[in-house]
Amino acid sequence: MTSVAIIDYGRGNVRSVYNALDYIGVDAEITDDPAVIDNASHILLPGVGAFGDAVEALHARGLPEVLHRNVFEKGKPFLGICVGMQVLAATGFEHGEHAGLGWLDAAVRRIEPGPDCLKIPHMGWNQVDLVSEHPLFAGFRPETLVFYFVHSFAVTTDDTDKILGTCDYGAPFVCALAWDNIVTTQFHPEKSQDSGIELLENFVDWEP
Amino acid sequence: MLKQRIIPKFLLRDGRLVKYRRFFDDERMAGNPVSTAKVYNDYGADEFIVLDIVPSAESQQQVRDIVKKMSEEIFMPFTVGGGVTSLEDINALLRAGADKVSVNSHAVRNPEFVASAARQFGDQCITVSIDYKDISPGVPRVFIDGGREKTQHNPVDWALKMQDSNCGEILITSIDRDGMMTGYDTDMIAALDEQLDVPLVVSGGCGGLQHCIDAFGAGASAVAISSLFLFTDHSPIKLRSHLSSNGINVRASKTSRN
Amino acid sequence: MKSCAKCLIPETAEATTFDDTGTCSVCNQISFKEEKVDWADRARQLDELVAQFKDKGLYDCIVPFSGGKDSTYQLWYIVTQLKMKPLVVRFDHGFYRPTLEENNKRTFKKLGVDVVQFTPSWHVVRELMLESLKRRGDFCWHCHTGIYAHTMQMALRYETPLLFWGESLAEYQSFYTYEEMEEVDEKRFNRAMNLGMTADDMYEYLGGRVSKRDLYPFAYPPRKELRKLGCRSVCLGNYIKWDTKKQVEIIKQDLDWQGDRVEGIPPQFDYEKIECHMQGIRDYLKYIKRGFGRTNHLANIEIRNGRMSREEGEKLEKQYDGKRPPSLDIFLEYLHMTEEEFLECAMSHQVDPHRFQPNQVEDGERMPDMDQWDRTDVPWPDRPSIKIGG
Repeated sequence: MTSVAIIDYGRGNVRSVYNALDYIGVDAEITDDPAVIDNASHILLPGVGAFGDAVEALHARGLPEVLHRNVFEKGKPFLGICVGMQVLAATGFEHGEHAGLGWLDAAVRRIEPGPDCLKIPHMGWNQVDLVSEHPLFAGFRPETLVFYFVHSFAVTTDDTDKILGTCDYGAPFVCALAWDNIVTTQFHPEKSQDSGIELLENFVDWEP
Repeated sequence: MLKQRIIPKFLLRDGRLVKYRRFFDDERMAGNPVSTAKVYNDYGADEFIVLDIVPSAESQQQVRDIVKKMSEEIFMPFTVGGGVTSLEDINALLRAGADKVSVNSHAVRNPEFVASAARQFGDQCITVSIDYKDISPGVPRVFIDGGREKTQHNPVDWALKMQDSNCGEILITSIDRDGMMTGYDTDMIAALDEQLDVPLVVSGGCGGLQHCIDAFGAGASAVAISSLFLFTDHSPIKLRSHLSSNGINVRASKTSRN
Repeated sequence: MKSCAKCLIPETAEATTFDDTGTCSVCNQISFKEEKVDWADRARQLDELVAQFKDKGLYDCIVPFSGGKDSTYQLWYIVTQLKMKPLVVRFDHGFYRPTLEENNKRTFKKLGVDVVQFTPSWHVVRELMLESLKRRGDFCWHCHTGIYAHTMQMALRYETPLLFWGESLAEYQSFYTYEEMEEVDEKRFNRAMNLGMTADDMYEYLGGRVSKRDLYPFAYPPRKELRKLGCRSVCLGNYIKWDTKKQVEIIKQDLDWQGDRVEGIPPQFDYEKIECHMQGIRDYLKYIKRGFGRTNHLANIEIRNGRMSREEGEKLEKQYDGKRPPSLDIFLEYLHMTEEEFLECAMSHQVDPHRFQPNQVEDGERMPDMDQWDRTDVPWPDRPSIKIGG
């Protein structure tokens, strides 16, 4: 039986993610309770807010350990969204330098406005270019690979094998990562209408 | 590349959608807020804006309830505003399901407010809404309290000041053009675009498909629309197909399922 | 006005886009349907669907039915080819014609089906027609919402989760493509049927002139209830390759289905839109708003199928589209409206870049059965003005 634990670390609008999962008719719970997370089949780490603050909030609730147990030892499908993707990096540079969860060798840096004066935050709908195939994007076509972004920081990594998708905002940046049972998106599927709903449906059907 | 956005913008009064001309004239009922939000979600509008135009202690809870119901039905970003005067107000709206909160009068009355809101909730959550009208030809001034109170601010200067306070987006509304359906104030859009680094949502005057092309041409990041959708047979789908056929980079809104 | 490089569809058509070669999205959808869709695979999907729902309840499926060419073929196909027991559900928009009613009597007898019909109150319907005309230049809201919303309510009432609708929207318009296989759900309803206005919105617009319960037939049932029922609401045209002309031959032969003359439609298309005596008004409004009528649409289908040249199509369009239908007199009686008011209302909804020329309109042909169309005079002393909010 599929059930999704939406990790609650007291930040941002996690209700939207819950509403989207409820819309597709899957059991979901917003929780920081280790027992509930241990019983869930899928783990979703949402996120809005600042990098350092989010990492601190996760630690304050003892969540990194619980996540590690479920994702690395039990191998549950894991989806990190936006800041929930960024905090997996080793280091973040939003409002000073902060250590992340260090799940991959990566840093989170401010997007620099390009020469044609792009506006920051990168806010709105943008095209995702997939580097490789992944069950999360099963059935998508180029015209449906358009998602809602809102962020001023992005992940950079030399671990190129883990890059699943990029997006062009003046220059390409990493907008999706995937390895093993882990997948992350810089964009917000819960705010991306049909494309986002279909991605979440793929996530809950995913058996890595 | 980033798509240009189409944003239906609707006004709430006592929990019902309403529409006026120039903020006060010719009131027309504009529908049920939740079902309307849902329709525009299904049309594949890019975002949704809803503003409480006569905020009161009673309407505050009503708006939060509406926001909560909307967030259960729509899966696109939406901005809520009207009568926001504290960080707690912003928090309550975000917790109810809003993605962004728009601040207008209180930003003028308390110049530090936007900076502290951006610090606490993140820049991207805070939209500054600016209403303006010409007090004499070519002399625009910012108005607050739903267009009732004149300020000394020039809208471009004020927008820049709000950008310096770290707002995530500017929503600019021409009171003179509101509901008139005669076209956006493209001069103002161009003047703002030249100086602003944050995204610019333009509102007031849209009455035809070409008006949106003009607004994007002048530098808008997004067009806010109400009369065109409420009182004519131009839907967001029609607008999108027209913009796309005219070379504007908008979303196709298709589904992957088959 | 720009139009498609292949067919005659103009840029004012809802949802249509044009590619780099100037070809419209509908022409491209039809090419996709002909060349890329694996119809054998779609037929297998249909078999699976039928197997999943057959013999599970009182009825195997619901077939929404007007008696026009498409729903008659749907019903014929479901009964004779899929061997299912359907419940036929009719939502009476108020404008059925004599030939259609006779056709239906024969069809129901020959196929042996149960039929339920729902007719909403005329007092409510005309309020809705007027409000919808004022807000969108389109009086068909009550029909286009009722047909879908009320039929979904019947699925819940009769606990019959499978509904078969007719052609895919991709056949004629670009709300969906043949790649998408749209579900006939609330999203499709909001996107392509209800003109962006829900029953809850109508309640607000009408400010107490009708009650919430007057509006229930037009309100889409809650998503959660439909999910609990396990509802599947699909277009038959996404599973079998839609071919109107061939289908019309079949129903004419098997069911003795009779065609009819329709205002603004050339006589050779005697199968088109025979189910509504206000069809001429609908197409006239479309002409006023968007600069094309039903003949344009019919010619486009012929052109896409290689049965007509663009030039022949243009000639036919000129001859039939944009004429003042004689039924306008009846329509104006229904809505207690003058022709000036009608034109003012319609012209306020013109879609860019089209501009209608009212002084160049010619009279259309009178239909032979017009005397039999109901003209019961129902007083409407407090009729609202044609101004929105009035």
